[in-house]
Amino acid sequence: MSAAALPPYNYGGFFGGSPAGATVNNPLVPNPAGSNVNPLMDNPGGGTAAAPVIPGYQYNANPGTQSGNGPFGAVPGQVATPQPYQDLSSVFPNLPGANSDLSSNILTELQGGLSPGTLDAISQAQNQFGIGGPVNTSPMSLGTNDAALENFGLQQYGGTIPTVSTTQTVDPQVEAQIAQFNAEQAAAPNPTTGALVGAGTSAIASLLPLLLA
Amino acid sequence: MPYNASPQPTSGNGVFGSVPNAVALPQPYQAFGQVFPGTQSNQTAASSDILHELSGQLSPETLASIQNQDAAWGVASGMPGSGVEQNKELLDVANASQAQQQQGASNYKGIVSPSSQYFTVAPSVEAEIAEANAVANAAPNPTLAGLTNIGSHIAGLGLGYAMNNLGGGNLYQSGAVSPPPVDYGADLPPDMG
Repeated sequence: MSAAALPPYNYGGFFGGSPAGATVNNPLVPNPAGSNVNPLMDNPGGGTAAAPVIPGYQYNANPGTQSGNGPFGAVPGQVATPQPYQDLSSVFPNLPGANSDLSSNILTELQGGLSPGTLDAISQAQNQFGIGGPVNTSPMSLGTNDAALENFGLQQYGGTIPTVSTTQTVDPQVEAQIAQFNAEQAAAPNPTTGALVGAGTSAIASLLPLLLA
Repeated sequence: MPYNASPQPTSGNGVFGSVPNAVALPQPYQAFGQVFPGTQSNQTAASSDILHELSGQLSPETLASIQNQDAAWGVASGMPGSGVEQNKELLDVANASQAQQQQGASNYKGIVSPSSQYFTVAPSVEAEIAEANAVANAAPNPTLAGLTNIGSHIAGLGLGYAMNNLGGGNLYQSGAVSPPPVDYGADLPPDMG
């Protein structure tokens, strides 16, 4: 359940009414779908699910073989695509959660709004400070505006893309190199069969003059 | 366990050589941890801190600090306990939460990149090692290959000998196969033919 599903808040509160035309998500209003639990409290970061981490993942750098064996050798096995996200997760334990929260924060900034985490922090502050009643959480009421948030979101997004790409995805050149290697191996002849066919052909060629005579 | 930089050869030996053994993946995280104790704990704590910063959640201590500061501000402004003071408290909470998230984003980039660069093996290196190992694993046993080659040569010689001596002589002598015609003048210059 995302904050976007909550009804907009457009009436006065501690910070006054929402600017004309602005709609903001009020984290303090119960979920109209039926649940009275604030979804932001259950998921402070508000992020969507990131790719799962495979426990004990280890890249297979020692592929087996395909067809063939013995004195003639075999066709090399298929090389697996590296999984840098899994590698990094093994040395940076909270990577999935961090990615989700970072992406969620950037998205809300790009949309000119406050992140679910910030809205939740306001809710917690209300509880701790004993401040009752609804609160207008529009950006302008909080001393900023949607344009500033969008601009900051763009900067954050531009700075995050290369970090994630270079640390958690495989370089397309490497992917292509692996694919080419695997394609060549998949198309390779069985060395044993090839050698036997070659030997048989040589024997027949040697006997051919006699057979034709 | 230190990285095995000298893998021993596998099948084959002697005059025919051997097949290179598989090269292991380097373990930079373990190697770093051996000279910098507590690396794993540091990584866990750092990632947990970043996750907390990105969540924008403020600790009870931070909230209490904001409340105390704003209470002092309310007293100084002559409006203690007023709605204005509470407004400022929530505004300060929102700003502190956003600043914390922005700090988390900055720290994410500052920690994730070196973690990847220094604690994991580059995908290009992983693929390079895997390809080399795949080729080595598929290599023929040099001893078996060498012996097979010798056997083939001997078999070929035997076959040739047998063919040349069918019927007590070679194929031409036995008449089974006609020798090719020889034109001794074919390769001479025209004026010498």
